Amino acid sequence: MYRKYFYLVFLGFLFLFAGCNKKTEPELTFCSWGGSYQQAQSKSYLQPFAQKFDIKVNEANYSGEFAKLKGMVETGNVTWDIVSVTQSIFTRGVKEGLFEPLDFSIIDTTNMMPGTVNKYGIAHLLFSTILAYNRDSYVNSKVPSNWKEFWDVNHFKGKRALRDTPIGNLEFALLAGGTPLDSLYPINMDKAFKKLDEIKPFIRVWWVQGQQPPQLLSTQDVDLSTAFNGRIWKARQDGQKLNLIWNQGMLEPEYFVVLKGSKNKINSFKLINFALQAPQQTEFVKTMGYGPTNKLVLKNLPDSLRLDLPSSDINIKNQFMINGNWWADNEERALELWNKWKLSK
Amino acid sequence: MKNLKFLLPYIIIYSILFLLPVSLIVYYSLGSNDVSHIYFFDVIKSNLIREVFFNTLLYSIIATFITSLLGWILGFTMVFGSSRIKTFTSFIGILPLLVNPLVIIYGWMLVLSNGGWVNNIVKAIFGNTAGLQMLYTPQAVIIGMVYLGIPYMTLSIALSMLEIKTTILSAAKTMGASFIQIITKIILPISKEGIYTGIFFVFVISVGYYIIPSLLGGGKVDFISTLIEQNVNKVLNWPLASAISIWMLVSMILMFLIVKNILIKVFR
Amino acid sequence: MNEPVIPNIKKVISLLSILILMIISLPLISIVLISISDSQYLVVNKFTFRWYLDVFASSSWITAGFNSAIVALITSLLAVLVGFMTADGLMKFKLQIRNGVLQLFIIPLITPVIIFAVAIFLLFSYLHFLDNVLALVFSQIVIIIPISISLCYISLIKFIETNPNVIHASKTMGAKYHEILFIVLFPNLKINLLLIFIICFMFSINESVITQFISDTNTVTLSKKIFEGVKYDINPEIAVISSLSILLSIIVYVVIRKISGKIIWK
Repeated sequence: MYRKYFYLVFLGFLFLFAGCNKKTEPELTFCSWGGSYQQAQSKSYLQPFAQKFDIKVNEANYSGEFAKLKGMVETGNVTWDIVSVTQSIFTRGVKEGLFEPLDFSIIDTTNMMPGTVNKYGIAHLLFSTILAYNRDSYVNSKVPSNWKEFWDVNHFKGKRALRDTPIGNLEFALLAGGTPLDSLYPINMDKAFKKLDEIKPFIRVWWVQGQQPPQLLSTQDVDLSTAFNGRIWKARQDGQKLNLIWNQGMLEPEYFVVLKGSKNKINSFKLINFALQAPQQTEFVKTMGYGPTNKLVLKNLPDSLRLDLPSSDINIKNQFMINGNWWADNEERALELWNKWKLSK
Repeated sequence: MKNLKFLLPYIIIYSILFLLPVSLIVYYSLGSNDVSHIYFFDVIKSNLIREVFFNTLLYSIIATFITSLLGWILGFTMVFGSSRIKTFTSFIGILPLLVNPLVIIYGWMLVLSNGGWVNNIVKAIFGNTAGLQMLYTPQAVIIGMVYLGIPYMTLSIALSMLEIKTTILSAAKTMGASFIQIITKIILPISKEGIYTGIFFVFVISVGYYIIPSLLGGGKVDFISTLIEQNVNKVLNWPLASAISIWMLVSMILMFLIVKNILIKVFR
Repeated sequence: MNEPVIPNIKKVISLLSILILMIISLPLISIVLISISDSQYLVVNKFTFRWYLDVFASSSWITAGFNSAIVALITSLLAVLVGFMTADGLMKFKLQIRNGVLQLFIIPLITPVIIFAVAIFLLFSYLHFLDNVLALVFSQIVIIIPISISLCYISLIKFIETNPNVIHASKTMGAKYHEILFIVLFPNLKINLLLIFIICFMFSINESVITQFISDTNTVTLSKKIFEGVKYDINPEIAVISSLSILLSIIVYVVIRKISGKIIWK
């Protein structure tokens, strides 16, 4: 009878050994969001880097588990070297001291757009949160062209959806109320929430995940929705009848960071440097429809693609860039108010 | 007392892998600095958290109730049905267990969405209407919760019914018992344990959902676990997350104690 | 008088069951349709098998399936064993104390999973004990054993209630405690234990929250890939995996029935 126990324990130890990593060659771990996004990153720069420099690149993925990043760094068990993070994780992470300062002797930033380089991270792409709609819903009626019109439910018909977060929505509400693009921050939350009260009964869905808006729009569960531009771009490539409006969109960067305590700092910096070069960024942009942060990239793209990118000259001038610092200080409070607001009648 | 040695493995696992890490995180969150234990009392004072918690409980109670009815019917068929129905039920009744819940939700979206099956049929019958809005509603959340709970409830009830011999049922029939009498006096009491466990289990997992309500409810239905997850992963407010969790745990335990006592008295 | 009472009850309830089962099948059929649909947008117009080809050609899904299976297997075996032992150990207490202890044992189930996931992650991370099969097993069993305990407990209670003589007889014949457990109770409760094993197995395979934290590049499991696939894209590959698991269970079910059809079902 006790033999069963021995077998189990033995089996367990086998797996314990199987699980231990044997690092013999130089390697580093790159962590991103998975799915087609990470596949594009892999094809554009991870695999080419591995081949060119003979350094193995392990790919991990996560879904924004900030707790995991913090836990790793604080317990000294850093298994991810480079992580692709959102603005909120970036600014918060810098505050908590989770990232390594970048070595700019290895990372060449001469061609980077202004505002994309930070001591602890570099923006490797720009994406926009914009308004998108299904063309079939608007054959005979007018589509809103700015947030004021989006708020005007009487003149602009359609089932609406917004993202389930204060981030972006507070700014859009202020814009709908007439605040100029350059005076959005610091955000007057009371004013924003009051304006949001007007649109609340008309919001059909509060979407949570990036792939919901294209879904909602293509089945016409919703006629108008905010969305990430890359998703709508991809949906259009796939033949869906969706359009997007750049006017008054919100630009947001996505950063490369190196976790504090990483054992592969030098190689990580090398990879970041490689990934930011024009050829690599161009490759990525062509696949995903997100905006590059390297100035050289825009020059070499075909016009048709350039029109679709958030950071191209035409599109960028009517958008605003998210203020990461304001959100780092106020996200928690804003989130609390947001939750309360959603529940209120 | 040597019989207690059978409890030992779990007690060890429980202490080292559960009590230890969870108490550490709670201590670290709530005890480590002076500001943290403000959160502890903030939770009771907060209207938001109370409302969300009651909301969660309400949905879970409704979903569990519906699940127990459906699960009982399926469990009964699984044990007492004719051979063919038995096979059918025991297979399909368990099938939702085999598919990842997230994928099931997308399956439901195909059925319930504006461009989905049900609406296609409705539009075909009633012509060019706007269709039924079934998705992104509270009803959709209940449907999702019930669907995911049915296999557990069914299995739990079936497990407790397995021991009922059909001879007892035949004897009752011979003695002139009616339909209702057989069910209430024989089958229900014997399957009691299974029903309780099923209810408990389905209720607990229902309260714990956070992705499903936001997907099916269109973000309009917030569960308590959504709040906890936000605090753990987005804003890294672990003290608040721990505080909410402790209160939630305590409330649920109290609730179960009270309900169990009531149930015992009612079904005496 | 009411001659066919039992058949009538059965008929009504069976009819209701069929209705319920038809509704249960709806999303499952949708999933199969998504897996052969040519579009990624929840609209089913054209059909193709390309997603199936993608999955079979991909080694990552096969590795993930393998990892999931191993973890689930070890976890459920442990869960059933420990659950059964614990449920039996509980029987020694009086009814009141028993319920109290049971409540205590079930607390891991009521705790919000995310809190437990972070807690166990921090512990294991500190010990540098992450991203391997054992770590996954040890973290999942904390949640799964309570399920097993409650289900084993019902089974034991049912058995003892309906067969009080068996225990008594074995005691009279001088059986020691562990002998009763393994020689008498265990074989009689085989079906129950099988069902409990299946529940634990499925729970482990579908468990995503803890897995997100504990597993990393070396132990990518199905649930992790599906979670990733659903959170970022809606990749029909996910639907393929689910359809395949439905197909697999049909095969397994038919096989089990063929082998032990007469023994299990009366």
